This record gives sequence, C-alpha cells and structure tokens, in this order.
Amino acid sequence: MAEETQEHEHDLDVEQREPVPLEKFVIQPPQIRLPVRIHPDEVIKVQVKFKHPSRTGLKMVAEHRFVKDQPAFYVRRMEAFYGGRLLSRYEMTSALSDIPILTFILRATREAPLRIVFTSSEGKAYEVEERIRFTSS
Amino acid sequence: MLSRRQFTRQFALALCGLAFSFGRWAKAWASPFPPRIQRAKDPKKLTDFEKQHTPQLFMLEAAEDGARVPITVFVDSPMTPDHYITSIEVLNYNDPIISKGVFYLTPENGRAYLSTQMRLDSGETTVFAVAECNRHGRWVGESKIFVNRGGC
Repeated sequence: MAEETQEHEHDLDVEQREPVPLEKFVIQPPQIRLPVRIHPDEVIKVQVKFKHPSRTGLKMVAEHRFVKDQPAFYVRRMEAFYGGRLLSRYEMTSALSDIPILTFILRATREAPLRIVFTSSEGKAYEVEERIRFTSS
Repeated sequence: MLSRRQFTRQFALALCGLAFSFGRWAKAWASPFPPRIQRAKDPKKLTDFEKQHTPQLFMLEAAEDGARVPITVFVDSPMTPDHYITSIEVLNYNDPIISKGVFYLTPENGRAYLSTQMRLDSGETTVFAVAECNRHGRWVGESKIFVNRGGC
C-alpha cells in the first residue's frame, strides 16, 4: 500500500498552467510514455499526453452559476488498442483539464503495438503508436 | 356501513401507510445514488470483498486551481477474465458538468486504475467514483476536496 501511495503521489505532481486562449492554442499529436524495462506478463503503467484544449464553453455569471457562452471544445474519446484488440476506452467530457495526461495500466502479455486514438468533439482523430518490447534480462 | 370510529381508524391507518411509503421514497431520492449502487459499510475498514469492488480515490485535500485537479482512482480487483471491473466513472454533483467521463476496462488491463486531471467548481465538495464489476454490480467510493478557485 505504501508503494501504491508513492506511485499516486507521483501521478499527482502535474504542472500547473495558465489557460491559453483557444485561438492561440496549438494542438499537437499525442505522446505515449512507457517504462524503460518491460518484462513478459508485467503490469505496466502507460502514460498518454495530448496537447489539446478541453473547454466547457460555460461562463460563470455568479458564484456557482454558469451559462452557455460558446460551444464546448474538448477531447471526446480515447481508445487504446493492444496488438490490434481494444484494451480500454475512455468516454471523456469537457469537464477534464486542458492537455490531459491520462495514466492507465496494461498487462504486457506479448510484444505488440500499442495504439492510442483520440477523437475530438469536432470528430477529428489523432493517433500515436508505440511498440511494447520486452527487455532481455 | 362504517361507523365514524371505524372510518377514522381506517383513515388514520391509510395516512400512516402513505407517510411511511413517502418517507422511503424521499430517502431514496435524497441520495445521489439509487439503492442498487453498493457502498462499503465502513469506508475506513474495508472487508476483502469490499476492497475488490470499492473505488479508492486519491486527490489533494485542497486545490488552488479548479481547472486542473489531479485524481487517481484504483479498485483492487482481481481483473481476471471472469471477475473484473468493466468501468469506472468519476462524478461531482456540485459541478455544472457532473460527469468527468467513463473509463471502460478489459481484463487485459491487469489493474483497475485511472489517473487524469479534472475541472471542479470552487468550494468544498465530494467527488464520487462508481466502479462496475461484471459479477457484483456497481460500487461507489468518495473523497472530499476544497477548491479555492473554480475551474469550470
């Protein structure tokens, strides 16, 4: 449990950013981060970062009162494919932060490509792929 | 033909029955979750069965900026092909957009785990996570947080 807590604290250490105006936001392709060493059947953390805005389109008119000001613009879905099979799917909402960094877990049962596909609220798809390779010990 | 006394007694019994039913209905509606969503009896003392199903939320106790609040959700499920967590949803009923998304898993994940960053409104609030098990239904866990500046 202490090891789990330590891992979670690392995950919580996320850089704070000032919100970039939407018109100045430059969307960049997603990135995958994998452990340096991967052993067969090991449970590994996969971290995916996508430089895409996530805006609710709401405007606060009073404390805890919001009105719709603009259309929402956000990442709608993340799909992870491992060796061509669907591993996980995240149906996202605009209530997530800009530049989401998502971490999930994968049991590395075989050497195969890991492909991540993001779909925006406008229907555009952004992909990234990395190969899971076992480290010879 | 009922006497006045009989009528009064039956009317009073009927009123009691209505009040009892209304009370149960009101209690069910007052909860953010319908009765079929299960929760641990004592969140600080989970049984082994509850540990395998109750989502554990890891968040800061206080966040300065509600536009980027990190959260990690973990369920200590076996994640075998016949017993695994199929989905995890994160919610905050105080926000204009309640759901922070639903994460669908498969046994190939190996562990029911998700870490992300969400938007929360200002003030003291409770964030919920609902995990669905393929065999034992839906379970809820929660954690409180204070947000200084709202980020919705």
